[in-house]
Amino acid sequence: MSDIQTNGQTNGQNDTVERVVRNVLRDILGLSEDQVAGFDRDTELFGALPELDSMAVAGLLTEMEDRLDILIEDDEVDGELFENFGNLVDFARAKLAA
Amino acid sequence: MIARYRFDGNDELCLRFGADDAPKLLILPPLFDEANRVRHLMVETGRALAELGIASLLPDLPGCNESVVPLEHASISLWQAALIACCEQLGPVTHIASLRGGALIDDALGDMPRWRLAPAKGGQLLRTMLRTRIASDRESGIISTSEALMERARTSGIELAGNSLSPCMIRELDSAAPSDGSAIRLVRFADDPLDADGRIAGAPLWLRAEPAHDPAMAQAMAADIAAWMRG
Repeated sequence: MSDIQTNGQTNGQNDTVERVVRNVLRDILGLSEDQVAGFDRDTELFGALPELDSMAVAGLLTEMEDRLDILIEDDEVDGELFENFGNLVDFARAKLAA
Repeated sequence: MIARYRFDGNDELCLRFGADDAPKLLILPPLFDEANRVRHLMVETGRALAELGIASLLPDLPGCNESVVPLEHASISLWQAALIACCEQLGPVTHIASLRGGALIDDALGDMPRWRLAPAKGGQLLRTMLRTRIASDRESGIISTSEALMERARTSGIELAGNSLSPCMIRELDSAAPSDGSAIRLVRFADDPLDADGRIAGAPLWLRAEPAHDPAMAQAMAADIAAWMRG
């Protein structure tokens, strides 16, 4: 897993990845810009957001694939991935770097 | 107004908006669950178009919405045949507008001018449904994979996210992509990085975990479609 921090990085691609993940969460959960802008690495996702059920998770993964042009394998998806926002962003960055 | 068209021995519902003598547009909703989440949006778009002087048809596809046909009898090619029957009976239509997976069947009437919002490939829709199935299997203690599910689905069909899909539907959906055409207007949201011929303000309501409506987006879609139809 990448050790890149969500904040303190000014690399353009990393900013883009984080924005894409934020936007996907905004679109799936119907949140406002302000609400998703408040997400940090420790913001809890699965379990903490009632709208994020298994159907929403399925849509979220396909949207991330589509918008980041990556392919997510079945066995890469586990509870840890959706534990918090930081894990999800790290995962997306690692997929892009691979 | 609620109209009906006859297809394959059944009556299918079709909403009609606008005056009979106005230019007629066929509106195609997204497919599967995505259609349910934007039903309100589609109806409001039809109404907004009528106010702009454009009549439209919003048909039920066999197996979807109010249709009495079981979804497992449906396929991409069956839906295209149904659209031909619908437009023969309630048309003629001169233009087609679709959302998402609707673009996979918008070539049913040949190379007609087509408007598409955020078109999706069949494989994308299938992947999301497979993931939902894998997650629910996991909750039941069953470890399943996309490959194994698809292999079985291609020969004996499968139920994915509450949708009974026939082997024919699986095969057609897996390879389905929006077709090329000589007069296509591709529209996306303002913050979508992908190429587009036009941009509208709004949000992908078909993704929402909790269905919502966006009246401004219905107006924006209608305005863009109307301007496009008038050239």
